[in-house]
Amino acid sequence: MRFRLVKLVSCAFIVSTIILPAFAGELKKNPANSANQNKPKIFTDENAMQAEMDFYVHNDAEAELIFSGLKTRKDHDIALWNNQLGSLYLAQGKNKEAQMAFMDAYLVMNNITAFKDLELRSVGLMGAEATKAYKGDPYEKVFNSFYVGMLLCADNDFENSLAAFKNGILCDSDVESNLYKSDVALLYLMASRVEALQKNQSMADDYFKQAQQAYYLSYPDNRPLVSQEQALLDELSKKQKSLSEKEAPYKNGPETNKPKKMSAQTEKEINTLSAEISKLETEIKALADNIEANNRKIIISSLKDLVNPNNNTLLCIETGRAPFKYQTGAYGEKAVFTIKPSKITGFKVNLDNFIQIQTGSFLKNNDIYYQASTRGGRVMDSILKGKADFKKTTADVSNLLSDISQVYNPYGVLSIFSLASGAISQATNPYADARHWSLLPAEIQIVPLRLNPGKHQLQIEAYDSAGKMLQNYKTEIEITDNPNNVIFKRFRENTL
Amino acid sequence: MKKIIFILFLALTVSGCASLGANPYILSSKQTTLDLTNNRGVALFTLKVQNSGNTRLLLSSFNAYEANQYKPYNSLSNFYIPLSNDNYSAADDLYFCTAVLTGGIYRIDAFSGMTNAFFAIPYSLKTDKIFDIYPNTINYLGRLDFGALNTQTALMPLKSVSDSSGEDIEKFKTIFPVLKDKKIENNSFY
Repeated sequence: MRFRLVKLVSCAFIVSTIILPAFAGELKKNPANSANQNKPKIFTDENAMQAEMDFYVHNDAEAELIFSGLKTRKDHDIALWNNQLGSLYLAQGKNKEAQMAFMDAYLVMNNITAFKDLELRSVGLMGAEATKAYKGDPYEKVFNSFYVGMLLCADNDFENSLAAFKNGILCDSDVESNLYKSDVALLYLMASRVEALQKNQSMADDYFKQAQQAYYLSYPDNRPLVSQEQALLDELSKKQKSLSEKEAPYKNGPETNKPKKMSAQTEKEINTLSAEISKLETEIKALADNIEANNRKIIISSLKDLVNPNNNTLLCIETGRAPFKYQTGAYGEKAVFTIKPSKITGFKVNLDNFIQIQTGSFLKNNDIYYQASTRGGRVMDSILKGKADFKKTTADVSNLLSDISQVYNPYGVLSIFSLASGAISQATNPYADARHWSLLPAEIQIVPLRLNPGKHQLQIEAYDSAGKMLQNYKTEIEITDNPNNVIFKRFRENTL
Repeated sequence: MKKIIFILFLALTVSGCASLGANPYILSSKQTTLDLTNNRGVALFTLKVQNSGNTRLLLSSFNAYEANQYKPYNSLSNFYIPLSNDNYSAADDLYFCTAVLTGGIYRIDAFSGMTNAFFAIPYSLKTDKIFDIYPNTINYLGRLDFGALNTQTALMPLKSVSDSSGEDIEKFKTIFPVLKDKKIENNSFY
């Protein structure tokens, strides 16, 4: 018996150390084995970060392989994988594939009932927000709608393109504060352009007016003033509500509810509130005047150029990195945004080696970080805050009971309760959802052009703030007799 | 009994040896080869604290926290990056920091050290900086300036970040000879 065992061990040793290594090369060359190699690789979420880094080092093939692999899982993050793939395809100039990917994401992001069960689970105290389906923040929905609209528009599908732009406007309005309602001028402008292309001039004019307002609202000089105005308006609304509540019992009502007599203390409070309201109104008026003064200085010729249907080509130059969302706070319960500064600050566009497009005609300030960071508090944040409080409380109770049990409880009854309490704390998952569309650019600048159908030489030079040329891109473009040609060019910054 | 003592002695000796081994997350001045396989990359940056008073600040380490939206928060890695004599240049009053990590996004929240070598009063330089590690790439990120050392408090916030690539990259190549013939890209913190 012992001899057999020794023989078995010896055989196993010989096979593993001598025979297998000797035939390893042969096994690799074996067609059956190579068929196995061609099988689609199974990717996990953790490969996605590698794909993201691959995108920025221009290793597009590897990034595409990973994101496509992740997409085939058809899991609750499918809209995220599609958005990432869409950006990747667009950067490669594969507009058709990009359109398909963005459309797939669009369908999930704008479907309220999609993955409903997962969403319900995340609202409870025990569920992680990241377990729900990814449907994106309002700014992500806005830019998904923008890309879908742009790519459909390039296909002459004006009806669906307009629907996508309108959807983006609706997503942008889905915020708590009215001041930030629809400040993505780009969507209004494109809606205006599509209406103009369809000869609906009155609708085009309406959209243009709204675009102008949105452009003023989000113009960099106005941003701090608008933010301040919003804070004062919120304060004013609270004070007005408080004043009306205090005054209500003393106002003239029906005969049966005769007004009571106001006490000196209440009268004093009402007078103070009235004075504060009056002061706030004066401050708001002053801010509104400042905004109005700024508006008069803003040149809107680039807006008019963009909606002009005679400009048959839109050159979209994308630069920088998307806003980066990460978890912070003691329990990772807060999701915050930051941005990687872009070195590229300006562009020069040359056509057919002699026409230079002036930067004044570029539509700028389509700043995605601004859109991402000025959304105000979402309902989800308050739920998360509640979860963090719960975790702290149960953790504290658990720790306290552990301490007590170590000192006073020889029978372990309290220890069991303490452990159970600790387990609840562990199960409570307050981690904020940090999933975000990270391959979005930081900014999109649009250059409207009027070009004859045919081939053209396009050159885009990217400059830093000191006027140093950082990247130079040359290509040949083909303009069709389509009334709306769209060209995307992405500048990826790690190559600087 | 002799056996037990021998095993204990061996265990202690071996564990001591292990702690003296090279840290895979940093560059060392004695290093002659740089392995950037398996998607590894390098981040380089400098750190300045003006030690004009009598009390000196000796930094010992910082932590690089993984920031990965695709991983659950409780499974994110945390890398301890020690700072040694290699990293400090008295002539420039600068710390030359290196981090060799797998491609991804990382966050630094503080640099730990002490303001007195003998009594070891802990001190912290607070920051919230995020950086990228690109596979098979060496990136210079910038210079973190914390201003003049304030010993009245136990911590100091970051004052500014500047691009000092012109001076710093050359110095990095001098301190860490393994970088000498390598291409160093100019990048930045978030």
